[in-house]
Parts: sequence; structure tokens; C-alpha cells
Amino acid sequence: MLKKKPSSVTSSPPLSSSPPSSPYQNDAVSDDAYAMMGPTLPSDLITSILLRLPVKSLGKFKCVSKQWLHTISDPHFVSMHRSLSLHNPNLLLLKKSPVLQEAHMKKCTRIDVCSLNFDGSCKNLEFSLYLNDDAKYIEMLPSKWDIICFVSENGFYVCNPSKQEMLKLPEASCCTSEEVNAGMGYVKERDEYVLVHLFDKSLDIHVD
Amino acid sequence: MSSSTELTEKKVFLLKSLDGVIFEVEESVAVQLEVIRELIEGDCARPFISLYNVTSEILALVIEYCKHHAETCSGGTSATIADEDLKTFDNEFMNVDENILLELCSAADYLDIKSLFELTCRTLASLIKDRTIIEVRKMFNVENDFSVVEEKAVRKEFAWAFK
Repeated sequence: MLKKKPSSVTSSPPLSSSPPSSPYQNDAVSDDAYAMMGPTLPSDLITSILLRLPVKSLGKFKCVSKQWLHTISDPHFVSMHRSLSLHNPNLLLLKKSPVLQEAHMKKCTRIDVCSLNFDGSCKNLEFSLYLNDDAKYIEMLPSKWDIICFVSENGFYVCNPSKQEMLKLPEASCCTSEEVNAGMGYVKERDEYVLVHLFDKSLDIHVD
Repeated sequence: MSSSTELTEKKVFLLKSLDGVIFEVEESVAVQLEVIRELIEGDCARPFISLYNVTSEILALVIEYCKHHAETCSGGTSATIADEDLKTFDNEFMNVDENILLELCSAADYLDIKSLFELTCRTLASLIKDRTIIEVRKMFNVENDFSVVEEKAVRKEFAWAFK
């Protein structure tokens, strides 16, 4: 998606005879204070910078001011941010390992997530998620947009790496076949994630 | 026009900064500033182009950037080498004081230089991504208009971002 055309500033030709207008709103501060505080950017430039921040920083900066909260929460901003992120993809590395715990505790699996720049030059994120699932096989499914989907014999999980959240999906089908043909998709028109799970009932394992 | 025009047969244009300093730039550099390209095409670029929103300090940097990009792209080197060269240049070019960065970003927007605008926005974003809210308010001169209760509520709602 194209970035929003920088507004007003460029629309008037520099040759116009109108008095010089500063690109910065000085807010009536003296020159000394101005020099100390640095320039104040117009809000559309601040938005352009915010559009290039990782989601976690955006969550944090919602607390900067009411205007920033409003800007970052705006659905148009969210969709622009998503489109822009697609032009600058990250590599996501996942490593899963069982967590050995005390006997009385629930067994779980740890998933280490690491995100790198596409050329591997810079590490953007590194964290671990815990799944209350001790299944031997936890597999990652084809995932779309900003959600990663996992499956084990106990059910489906979705992970939002930006928010470092993990959620178990409600049980849906009674499929017990070992092979899972499923994938996560995203329907842009409805802004909904869809999990498609194909299975063959005749392969179900029945235990009498 | 200046004598260099006749000598090198290269078209040059004069850019005048906010503080009255005049810069002479070749056409290949000038056309990278989208607003100036439009003026050149409309034959409105004589005798000089006044840039009321850009100081000479910033304009000198902008011209340095455009010059390097123009030379690298027309230098006849392979695309890969040119890409590498621009990347190294851009990295070094962004190694400036953050107030200069803010002004460069603003100038790139005003002069409509897409690659420099993208570069400065990305650099500023990576500069602030790990900063605290207070540091960011100070950097952008943003007043905290939340009440104590409101700010606490917003912080609670987005607690995941503070982990």
C-alpha cells in the first residue's frame, strides 16, 4: 500500500510570495527553549514514524497522550501499519522444547520465538511462550498475517508474536486422525482470521 | 546562468535556503527533489528556487544525500554493488544528532524526496522503539494530557506492551 501522501507542506510551490512559514509549530517557545527541545513535527509526520514501529512499541506509546492513543488505535492506521510491515518482513525462528517440571506441576512445552531482520542483521524480538500441552508433536501450521498457528493432538493454538500472547482455540471437530491438514487464513474484507481444517472421517480411529 | 553551465553543458539550478544561502545543484540532483522537478518541468525554476522551510544546514545535507544517490545510480556499477554502496552511505548519513534527523525528515517530506523520507522515518522509528514514554514525550514535545487515573487505565489495558 502506498504511504499517505505528505500533506499540505508540499502543495504550495516554494516560489510563492507568501511569508515564510515554519514547518514546525513553535508553540510560543523562545528560540533558546526551541533549540533545547528540538523541533516539533507536524502530526502527519509523527504518524509516518509511528507507522514504522513494531507493535509492542505502539502498545507502549498509546500512553504518550490522548492524540497518540487516538492515532495508533485508528483502524486506518492499523491497516496501513500492516501493509507497510509486509514490505519489510521479518524472519521468525521457533524452537520448541518440553519443560521439565516438578512432578506435581502440569507439564508444558516451551516455544522460543526469535524474530530477525530479513538479512539476519538485527534481532528484533526474543521471548518464550509456554503451552500447557505435553503432546509429543506440536507442529506449526501454515499461518497468515500476524498470527502463528500451532496444533497438537490436544487442540489448536494461535500465537500473536507481537503481543507475545498464546491462546488455545475452542475444540471444534472430533477429528482424531493423526495427520492434520489445516491452515490459518485471513479474510481482509471481514477482518477475520479463519482456521481451515480438512479431515477424512473414515480415517478416524475408533476405540471400542 | 552561471558560467559552469556553458563549460560543462550541464544544467544547474540554484536553491535558496530559508536563511538565504544559495546552493548550486546539477539537474540530476535537483530532480530528485520532487517539488523542484515539478518546478523545472513547469519552467518556474529561474532565477532561483526559494525553499522557505529548509535551513542551509539541512539543505546542505539533503543535497549531499541526493548527489550521492544520483552519482551511484548513474555510475555504471552493477546494481548489487550500487545497492551495497547506497546502504553503507545511508547508514553513515543517518549517524547524526536526533534533532537533525527530525529536521531531515521534515525537509524530505516538504521537498518530497521519497527515499530520504522513508530512510529518516525508519531511522527515527528504530531510535525510539525502546524508549520510555517520558523520553518520547520529551523528544516530540508532546504534553501528557492524561489524568493520573486515565494513564493508569491505559497502561493497564496495554500492559502486554510493557513486559
